[in-house]
Amino acid sequence: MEIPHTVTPRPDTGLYNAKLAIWLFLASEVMLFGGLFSAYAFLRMGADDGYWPHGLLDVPVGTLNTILLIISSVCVVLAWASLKMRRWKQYQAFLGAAVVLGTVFLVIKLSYEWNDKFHHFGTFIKKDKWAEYDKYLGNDYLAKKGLAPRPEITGHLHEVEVEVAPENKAQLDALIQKRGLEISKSEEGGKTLSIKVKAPSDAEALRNEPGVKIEAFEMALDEIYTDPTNPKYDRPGFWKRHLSEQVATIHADDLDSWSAFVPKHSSFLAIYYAITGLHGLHILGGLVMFIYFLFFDRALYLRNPEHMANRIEVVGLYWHFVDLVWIFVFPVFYLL
Amino acid sequence: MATAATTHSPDHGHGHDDHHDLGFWQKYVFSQDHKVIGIQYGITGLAFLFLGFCLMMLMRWQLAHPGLPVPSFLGPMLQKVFPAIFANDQNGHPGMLTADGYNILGAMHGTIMVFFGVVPVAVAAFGNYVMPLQVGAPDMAFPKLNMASYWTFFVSCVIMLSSFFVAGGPAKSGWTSYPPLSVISDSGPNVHPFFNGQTIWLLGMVFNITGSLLGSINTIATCIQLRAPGMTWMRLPFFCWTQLVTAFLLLLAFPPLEAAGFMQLMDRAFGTSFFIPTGLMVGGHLTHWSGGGSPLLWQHLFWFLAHPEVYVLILPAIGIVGEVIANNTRKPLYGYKAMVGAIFVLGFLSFVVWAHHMYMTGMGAKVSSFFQTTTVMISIPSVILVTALLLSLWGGAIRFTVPMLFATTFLPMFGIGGLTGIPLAFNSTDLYLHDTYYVIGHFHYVVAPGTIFALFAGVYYWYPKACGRMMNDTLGKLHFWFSIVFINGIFFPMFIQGIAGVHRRWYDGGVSYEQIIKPVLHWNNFMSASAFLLGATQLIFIFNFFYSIFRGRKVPNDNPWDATTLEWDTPTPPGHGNFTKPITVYRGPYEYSVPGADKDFTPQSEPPKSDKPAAAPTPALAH
Amino acid sequence: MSESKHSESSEPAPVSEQQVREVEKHMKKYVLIGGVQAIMVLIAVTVAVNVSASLQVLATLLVTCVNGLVIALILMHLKEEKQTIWKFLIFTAIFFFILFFLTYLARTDVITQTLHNHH
Ligand code: HEM
Ligand SMILES: [Cu+2]
Repeated sequence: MEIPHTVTPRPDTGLYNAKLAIWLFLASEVMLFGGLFSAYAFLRMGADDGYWPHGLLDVPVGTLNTILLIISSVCVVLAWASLKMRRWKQYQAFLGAAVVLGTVFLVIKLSYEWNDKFHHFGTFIKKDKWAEYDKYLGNDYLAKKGLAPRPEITGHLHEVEVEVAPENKAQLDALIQKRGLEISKSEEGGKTLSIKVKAPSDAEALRNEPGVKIEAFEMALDEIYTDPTNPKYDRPGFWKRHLSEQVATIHADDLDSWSAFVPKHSSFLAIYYAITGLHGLHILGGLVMFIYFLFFDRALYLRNPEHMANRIEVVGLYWHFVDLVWIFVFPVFYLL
Repeated sequence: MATAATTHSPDHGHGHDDHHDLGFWQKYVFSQDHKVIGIQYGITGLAFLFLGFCLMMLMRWQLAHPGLPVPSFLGPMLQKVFPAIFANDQNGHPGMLTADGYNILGAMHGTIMVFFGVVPVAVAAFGNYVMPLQVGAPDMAFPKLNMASYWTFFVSCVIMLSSFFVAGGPAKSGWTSYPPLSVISDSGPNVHPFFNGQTIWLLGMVFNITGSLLGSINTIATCIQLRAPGMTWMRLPFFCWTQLVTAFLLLLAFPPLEAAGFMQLMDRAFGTSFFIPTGLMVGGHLTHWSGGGSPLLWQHLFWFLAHPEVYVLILPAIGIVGEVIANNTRKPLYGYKAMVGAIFVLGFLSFVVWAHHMYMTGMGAKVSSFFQTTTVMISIPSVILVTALLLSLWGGAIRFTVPMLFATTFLPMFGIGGLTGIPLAFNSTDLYLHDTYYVIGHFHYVVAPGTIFALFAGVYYWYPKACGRMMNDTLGKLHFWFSIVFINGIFFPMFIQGIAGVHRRWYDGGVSYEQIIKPVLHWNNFMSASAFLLGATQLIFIFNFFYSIFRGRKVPNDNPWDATTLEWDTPTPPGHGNFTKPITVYRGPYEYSVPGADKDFTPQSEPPKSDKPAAAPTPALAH
Repeated sequence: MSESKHSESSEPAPVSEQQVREVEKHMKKYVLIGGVQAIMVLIAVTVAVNVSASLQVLATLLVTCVNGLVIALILMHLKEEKQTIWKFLIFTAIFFFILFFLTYLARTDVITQTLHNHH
């Protein structure tokens, strides 16, 4: 049994089957990312003044990644053209380049961008406590200028001050030991402790510890909070947030919420991780297919080079689409 | 291109799929044959329909006899297997449905019936088995993808069923899975953070949706690319049109729900607040979510799928009914072109009516009016379809075969379902009727005596092609008559109760609101009794189904119904590759009782008499 | 089958000179398009950093949309693509925009607004 039109186009539609199928698939992908982007717009428009962060992401790195993807996209279409000319080596070179570029994209995304976020820390101050923290937030100044307020103080977490019930002390000590943390101060017979943490995840562990109440955080501030009324911070920064030497103490009772820059931090980061995560999975899928076509599909090329070219055309369409999505992800999250 | 063509014919590029001597596993389990896959979908789907039915019977037991344990050995047994759903009653007798258990059964009944029962049978089973045959294709366009769709679906079934056996039981937040309830349920100290009902529900849905998406791509590609020479669009059987439009609905409406499913998973697993508003209090305590989300976002994304989904449930059913009616009235369908137009309009409009499920959320008058208008508009194509089918009966020499009984009954039942939708479409009346049994009555009339009857019609109609034997006629008629009586016994009183104000989610059937709804409370018993009798009736069908495989009357020839469409040109049952001769189509799908013809039916593949010049195939269509 | 005449290891027959020239012309075009895209990304960044806040979103998205169109029309060959594909992509685009209708709904949503007023 033969399925018609696997390689040659059907005369009346002018399409071979896989070409039609990939476009159908991409149509559904448009709706998939459409759902997420409309959620983005929905959440953003519903966010209170100041609660949608700007300039949280590193623009130069994002730009670099965007350009990497664009180049890889061109490489794929060149690989297809090489097959059309029956130049296998050239095809391998171009597709191989696309694989490398895609991999670099993923590595930057995961090990640099995401990882950096996991180590960044943010505390949302309750509205009625803004005045107390105004030397960091600068909300009086912003209000006078008619700018959106800053509800959050960000930086790197150094120490967590906790109060522990006597019966849970032993358990807490065990936790500290297990995570390799250090106690810098111990008062009232060990009832209140200052614990040096390595990463915000340590603070999460302390939050979940029974009988332990977090009292305060000591964190090194991002530069902007050391000089909040400086007009140069009136617009969001586009470079990586610089850390200052200045350390501030923030009381847990004054906070609406606190966490690292993980998905649960805010609607912005939630949708950021959702969309870039799904996009990353698409990249991964593309890479797997590329590698298959690079190294395991030569037999098809020898048997029927046109079929092989069709395959690369189809996977190329997919790859361009992934590129296209990123072209929108980039401004929407990094720039606006 | 040119070079490829000179060296060898490109379509014969991969000659490695000679499937003549496949082993058992590849032939019946990991099969790539669309007919085997269709049957796999059919059997899985029918099994789930039965399971969903059983869940419903347990709920109906509780509604008729609030607090009474399920009788005989069943109660204790169920409690042993499903401790999350059943408990001891006041007197210590085991087998009483708990309040949580009731919610579980409700949520799982809806989910299973819609996503694991009706859609797999109506779309995947009939679509897979019949559609490629009707367009004259040797198989689906992508046989491997087809197999992958089924097994993705199968995995989703296993995932969904496994949730019955985790601590806390399966999902309990309705088939609509509204947050914040769905995000906060199944969480807490006694429940596994990952292997719990709601999270598994979401995972199951993600797989289910993925399977559906793959399937719909395949369906569309097959319908567009693999039509036999001469099968022009206006010669396409109506059933294929419905499958095509349905596949587009699935393709474009499901992804947003998949996105929403990911987001709800993140809300549950990573503590994000996509659907959690700021400052959510549960049980007097502030929850730990950072907030900033909106429960309405979920409702929008859910109904953006789920309204088109209800047309996914109904369109293939209308397609089946159309085929059966044309065949049994021995007449062409009345207004075939208008019907094709109507399903396209229906498909399009179904994307712009979703928020009629949300009038009660306080969207505001402007938005509500918009959706009210589109919803009223969508009833126009629905009416065109029903009217055309009704007029198709006019003046026909109707053969009341078993499939025809089910198909004709579809019309008034779908009519009732559709008409009762109109009061729901209007804001002012819906504010009263929303979340009452009236709504339950409305959509069940469309899906149960509507779609499911159409599915029965389809099973009785195509069974002889798949099995080579007819289903027993007498048993079929018994099945039909009992079903039609009992099913109305269940659903009609729902309108009466709903108008009286009975809420759709009361655990005790309304006993605690007795002062208000006393005059309609007694219907609960009647409806439940009807449900059990309907259940018993289905045993006739199940028996007939299996009995006829071995003992049914052998089909006299490959075309026992004297039908015109291409599926009857295949051997019975069709082998791998379907047609034994090259197929060319010369005429429209329903040339019944053509004046001057020697039989009362002229198959699509029959060449015109030689005195007329051959009109088809058009050169462009030959491949 | 016909291809059994081919020995499995031999390279496929070369294509004609003319076709090679044709393809090479296209390749130049693709490289050019890549360059254009990269430049447009840089324009988008510049616009986003410098244009006044009220126009920033609109202007940046405009540049991005043009960029997206270039990918779709040229790199993905949509410009020369068949009618069948255009037909359903147009529907997809319509439904995509309908999906964005959600944001309008969010704006008019009484419940969400009430929640925010009490924040
Ligand atoms: C013909 C015109 C139709 C109209 C005007 C209509 C209108 C409506 C409206 C306004 C609702 C929301 C009621 C509420 O929750 O307050 C509703 C619910 C529903 N309809 Fe329809 N409908 C129609 C046809 C259909 C069809 C053909 C189906 C399915 C096969 C269907 C299935 C449903 C379902 C499943 C629900 C309830 C979902 C739930 O809340 O759980 N309807 N209908
Ligand atoms: Cu609806």
